Amino acid sequence: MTNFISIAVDVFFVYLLIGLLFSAWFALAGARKLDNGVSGTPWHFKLIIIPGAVLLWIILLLKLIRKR
Amino acid sequence: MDNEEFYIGWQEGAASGYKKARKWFFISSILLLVMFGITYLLVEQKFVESYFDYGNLTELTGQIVDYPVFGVKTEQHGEIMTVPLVGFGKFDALPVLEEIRNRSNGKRFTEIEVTLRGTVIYNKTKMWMELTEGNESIVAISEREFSDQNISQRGSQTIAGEIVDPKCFFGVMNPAYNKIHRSCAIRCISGGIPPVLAIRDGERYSDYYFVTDEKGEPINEAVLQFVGTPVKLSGAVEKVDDWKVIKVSSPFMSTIQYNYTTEITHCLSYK
Amino acid sequence: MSVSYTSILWNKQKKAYDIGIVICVLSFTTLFFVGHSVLHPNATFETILIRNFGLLAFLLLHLILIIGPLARLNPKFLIILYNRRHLGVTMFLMAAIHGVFSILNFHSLGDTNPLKSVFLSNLQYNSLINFPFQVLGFFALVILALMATTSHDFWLKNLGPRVWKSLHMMVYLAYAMIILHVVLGALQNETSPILSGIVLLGFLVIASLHIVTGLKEGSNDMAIDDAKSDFVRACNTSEIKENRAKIVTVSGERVAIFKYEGKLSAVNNFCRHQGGPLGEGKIIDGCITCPWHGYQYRPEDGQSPPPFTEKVETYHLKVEGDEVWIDPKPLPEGTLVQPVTINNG
Repeated sequence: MTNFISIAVDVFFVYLLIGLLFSAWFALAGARKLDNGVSGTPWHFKLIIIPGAVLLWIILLLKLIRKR
Repeated sequence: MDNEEFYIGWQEGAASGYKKARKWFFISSILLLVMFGITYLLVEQKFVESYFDYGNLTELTGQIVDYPVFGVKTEQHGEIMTVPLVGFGKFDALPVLEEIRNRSNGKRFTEIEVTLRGTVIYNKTKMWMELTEGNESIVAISEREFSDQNISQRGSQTIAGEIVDPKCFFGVMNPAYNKIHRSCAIRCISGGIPPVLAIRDGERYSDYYFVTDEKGEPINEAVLQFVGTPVKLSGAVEKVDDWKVIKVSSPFMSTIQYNYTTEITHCLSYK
Repeated sequence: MSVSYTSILWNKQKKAYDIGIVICVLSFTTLFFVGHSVLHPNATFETILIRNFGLLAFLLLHLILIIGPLARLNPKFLIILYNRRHLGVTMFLMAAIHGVFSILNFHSLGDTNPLKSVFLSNLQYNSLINFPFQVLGFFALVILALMATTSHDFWLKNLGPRVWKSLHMMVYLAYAMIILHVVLGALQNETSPILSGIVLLGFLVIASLHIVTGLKEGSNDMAIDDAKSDFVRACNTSEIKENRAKIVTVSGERVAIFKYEGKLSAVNNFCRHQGGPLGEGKIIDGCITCPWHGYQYRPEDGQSPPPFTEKVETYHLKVEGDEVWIDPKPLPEGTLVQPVTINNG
């Protein structure tokens, strides 16, 4: 069990790390592709969606792929 | 026909009935929070008196000991006391002990006097020190004759108490016992900090024992699962200078569930 | 109802609300720190900090959970419901301070990665009383983080209202884990029966308020279940107040029948924003206005007026004498249905 937990935590960190990279791109460019409402929003709006994008990047990525 | 007030959140202001509800909600909430806060402060468990002199470095000079744990025997307020030494964070200070050995040119610890710098941790009866700076903590080593440690046997005993990590317990954290502190204590003891059995007498702690194996060697790994819960330990008790040691025959350790003010109610055997 | 998003919409009433939140947080924190320096001078700063923010988060969560039922029992509390997300984000921040400081305090500077240590230090997962309670707090914090970070309308729109709502319903799972976290953690050290009593009381208040409002809502619903027939009788015209609605359940869906200007229209009761009950709303400026967040729909076609794009299903109605009949088959979202006229208004 110790090994399993250890690996699970590592996976969680990797997930968040990818989320961090994804969220930076998402805030700058990706969000606009998913939702027209994002165009022309100020920088603080983009900042507000970053934490959610770090946690839920996988859903956003799937939605973006499906949209394309 | 319909003159009822209707709430629309995105409008600038709200109708008076809604404003009244908001006022009522927040005033009641603040009152509840304050009442809870006062109740909590009144019924909260008392904090024992203990200190961590964080940010201030103190120098202690005396004789180095390595049994039952690494420490320095030094004079404090006219009395000789053993100050056990631990490392920064949740680690032991054994690398510093090794360094002292290397620098003492093959001399025994009874033949040298060492000055160490660190952060003191203390309560009413015991003092510990964190060697915050690692090997930099060694300020001076000089020659001086000391007598051997004073060791006396106290026979086989069974003692009920709680295994704590002494670094936190004697001052770094407060409170540093029982369930809330358990995982921290496990981390500290896993990092090499010597486990201590703390005996509670009603509201306060009255006595402490270092916990070692039968040969007086560290037993950190084996005690991990018993940390932070009530335990009963059996073994040979020894007095080493101003500290006591219980040498546990490890497979016979048992945890007991009791609450500090009442009798032992239940026994669980281990292994 | 977003065309282009704003970061945080602040108007006068939201500011008043936020001031209320700030006063709650500051008054408790001040009391807690000053109280400790007077009554418990031996407590360390980190301990006071961890306890202060843990307790604040716990107490605010209780307030958050009673707002929903409170607004159902007395619609005047809709003003509290509307800005609940600010209270929620504040509560998450309090919980995050508690969690981060606990991990730093108890698990960092050791021989194991601090987060791994949360799971691996105490391994008695098979015990109840010795259970590693911090793990429960960690998972609850993850749920609260998901909720707080997705509280903006951007997420509501892009995750879809149903996914968003189910994500946010996880607050009840978080609450259950937090109760266990407290009972198996703090209450093991703090043995005063007064504190256990308060935790129990808080739970009972929340549970009973939810049960009471749930029952009340259930009895308000009139279920008409006959999906096969063309039209089923829904209610009498006199049962509906002007500019208001009657909610009926047809084929398992709740439908709101609105009366306005001598006409009747029926739309699905589920607001596309956060699932608010449209039937408890009111017609304002010719539009159905949701009581929760003021989203608007035209009664005749269930569409939000341009530039907004939300749509709900509409239904065919007919009036026979005083009786209102409804076709249980929903029409696609946004379908125009000519309103039926009531004979004598």
